[in-house]
Amino acid sequence: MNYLARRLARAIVLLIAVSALCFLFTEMAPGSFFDEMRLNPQISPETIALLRSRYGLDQPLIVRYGRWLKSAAHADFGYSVAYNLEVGPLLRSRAANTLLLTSSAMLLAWMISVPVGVWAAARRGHMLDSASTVISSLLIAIPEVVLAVALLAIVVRWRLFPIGGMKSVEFEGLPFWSRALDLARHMLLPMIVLALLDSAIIVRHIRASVLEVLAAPFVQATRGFGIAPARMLFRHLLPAAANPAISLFGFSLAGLVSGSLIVEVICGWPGLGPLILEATLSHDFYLVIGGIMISTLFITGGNLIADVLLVALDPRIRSGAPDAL
Amino acid sequence: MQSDFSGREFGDNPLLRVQGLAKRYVRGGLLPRYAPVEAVRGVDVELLPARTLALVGASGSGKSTVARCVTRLERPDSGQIWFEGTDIARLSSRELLPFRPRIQMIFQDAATAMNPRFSAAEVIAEPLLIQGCSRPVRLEILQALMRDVALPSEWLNHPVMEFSGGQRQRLAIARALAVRPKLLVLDEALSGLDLSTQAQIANLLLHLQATYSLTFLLISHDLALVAQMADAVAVMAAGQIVEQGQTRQILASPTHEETKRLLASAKTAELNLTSSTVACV
Repeated sequence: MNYLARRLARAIVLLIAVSALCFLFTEMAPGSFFDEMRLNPQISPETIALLRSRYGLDQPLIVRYGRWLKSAAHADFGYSVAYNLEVGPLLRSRAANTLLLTSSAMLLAWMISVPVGVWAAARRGHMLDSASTVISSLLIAIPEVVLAVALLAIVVRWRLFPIGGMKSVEFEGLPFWSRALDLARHMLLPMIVLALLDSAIIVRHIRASVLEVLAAPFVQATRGFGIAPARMLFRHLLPAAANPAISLFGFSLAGLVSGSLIVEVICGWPGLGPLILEATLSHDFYLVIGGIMISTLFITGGNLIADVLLVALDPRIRSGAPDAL
Repeated sequence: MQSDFSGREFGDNPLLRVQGLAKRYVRGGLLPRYAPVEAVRGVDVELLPARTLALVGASGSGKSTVARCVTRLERPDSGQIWFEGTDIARLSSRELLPFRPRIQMIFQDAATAMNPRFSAAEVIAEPLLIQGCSRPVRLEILQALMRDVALPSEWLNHPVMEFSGGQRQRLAIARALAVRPKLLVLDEALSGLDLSTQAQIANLLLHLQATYSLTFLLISHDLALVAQMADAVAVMAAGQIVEQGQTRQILASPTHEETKRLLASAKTAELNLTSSTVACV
């Protein structure tokens, strides 16, 4: 419990530090949302000054930061000058779309990667193990953008499933299951791209940790008793190989919000990606800071969950044994 | 190499007879760049019931490969391993199942030879669970085994990582004994322990051998231990048996250069130990 409280306190300090740095860097960044307005002769400098004053942008940095902290405490995260809306509700609706996509992709990636990784380790040196190594190396080497564009081109060329957005025009009039299917068809391309990218890394980690456990003397000793493969897998191999996988799972959770931004932009998924990109280009800084904060929240939360899982599942970490990790 | 040692002087059928055992390892990835390593070749040994055969040799001489082939943790490339009249060298995993409990191995590092997440009870009960023993039977056997290896049964629920090196080796012995084996392969099982603990474990093993008529294949480079425990010795070098015979005879009048070298280095180590003890005093 003490451990959890310590980790939570550390996470809060980290969030505050990230928000302070965000404010500092956006202050140092050249340009502002109102710069383009200044070029417009129809908008007077007084109007711009009035707008800056209304949004509180004429205040010193420390005052703005204090106000933002107060607003963040109510989960509003300031005000978007481009959308003329509070950042919180704006982020929440887009984050829900992003989470729907990334959690589906994460689930798919782990469902594929764990059996493939274990199987590749158990058949080390086999032709199919080599094939999985080559494919995962390729997927790691290929940049996210290239893979997304290549798959997008394939999908468009053969008209495999709908591209762009997350629902069809007639979506609202469809029955429940048809709506679910429509949503799934729109989600398929970005989900496959994200799942492929994630699974390449997960497969390699699972394979490496299972190989390490397979070579461990305690596994050899257990083999000497004539243990059944299923019992060996679930009682010895998977729990012993779980620690790196749990850490990786924490990274997967951490990347739920920030890991899909580029793919969302390329595939036209209306998640946080396009929103943050537009906000950055238009200098809508409160929206950018809100996006960074929600991403940081998931990164710290993901790592915290992974650490708590490690403590809960490995007695050596609970007892502070030096060879636990 | 066939030597003067056959074991038949004991007038008994061997429990284990290894004939022409060979094992090689292939290194390299998709395009192997190295020639295969011949870990052992043409190894012939016999082991009579309730006796101890020590397999000695320098590091890399192939002792542990023989041990792993005998326990069928490795499949030999050629040769036969006759155990109680059956050649187990070519048996499939399924066919090996009835033989598994009868041949057990005790590893050098007991700390890594047990699942670090387990308690002592879980470690010792694992082979019993695999054999399908009921809970009451398991509990009864666990208590008896803890008595056998001179550990308090109250420690059964302690995690294995809380045990010392010597205590873990006792647990490893208890785990091996749980399935009532006939042959125990002791792969450097006493190395890495301090001299006092080593002596205690050696005495425990001799006591258990006498009590349960166990047969030991002792893999060691410690000739003092071999002299204490083994009835016969086979000396290995470069994957082959170069000399074998009765322990007393081999240690007293070695004929092969490798055996002489091992004895000489054992004497040097003893001298070094004595001089360092004097220096400490």
